[in-house]
Amino acid sequence: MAFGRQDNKSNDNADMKIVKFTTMVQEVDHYLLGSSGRTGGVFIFGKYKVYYSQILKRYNADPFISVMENIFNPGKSGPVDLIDEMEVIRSFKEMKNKTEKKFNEYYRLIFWLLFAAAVNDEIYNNELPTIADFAYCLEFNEKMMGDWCVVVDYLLSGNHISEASKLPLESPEGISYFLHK
Amino acid sequence: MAKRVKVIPIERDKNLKNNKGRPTYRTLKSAPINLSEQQKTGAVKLFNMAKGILVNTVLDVDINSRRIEYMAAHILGNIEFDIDAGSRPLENAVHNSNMRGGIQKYIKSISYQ
Repeated sequence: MAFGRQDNKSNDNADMKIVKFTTMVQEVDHYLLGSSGRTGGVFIFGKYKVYYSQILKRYNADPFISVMENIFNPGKSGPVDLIDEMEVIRSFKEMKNKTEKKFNEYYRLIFWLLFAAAVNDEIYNNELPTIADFAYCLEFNEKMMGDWCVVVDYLLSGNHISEASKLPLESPEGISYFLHK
Repeated sequence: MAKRVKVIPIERDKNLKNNKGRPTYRTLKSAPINLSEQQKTGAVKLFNMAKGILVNTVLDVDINSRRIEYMAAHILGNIEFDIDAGSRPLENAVHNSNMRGGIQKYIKSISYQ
């Protein structure tokens, strides 16, 4: 009996973690979208979105990654089509020309990729070089990358992000994107 | 018009440290300038492998794609692009951050609530 109660308590605790994590991801994504009026969960860039979907699908045995998959890939129960990474890179110039003013989506994508890498060791170990490649293609620099990591750590340390957050950001892009200044 | 090349396997450099048996960018960087066409196409395969992407079958790649341009710059000794000055510093910036410990702190913070 005692074991049963302990198991129930443990399950409740695990459920609470998932609920809180879900709420945090949704709130943060809503905040990052700022005043764009969109509700979150959808990336506008096809190829990059597919890569992000792949990552979430491939590592969704992790309950936290599964939460992210449910938020960003709602209703996708089947396997995500695998794509050649070269196809992603090939489309970069084309996308950049068409979407010069959409850098916030680039920033958001790299943020959630880094967030997933922080949450799951396998993603960190296996995917980080590719994430860094994408970030470089999307014109990130070292200060920006550091800032993005600062925010990931800040959130995973239990903090809430807002325009008043005291984040030690160094890049103008990071200050603008995360603090809306 | 993009040139199409076929990718073939290339032998791994087993002498590199800390690469978990996988070839790394350094392998490409140390490649000799005077490569045969076969070696060049093999380097494409190596490049993919270095990024952890397993390509088990012959793969057509677009020589004009950005990453292939990077790779070609290495092979041909073109110093205008250096991958170590590109994405590698960004990767290092992540390694140098405290980001990775975040999830442990997060889980712990919930556990004690």
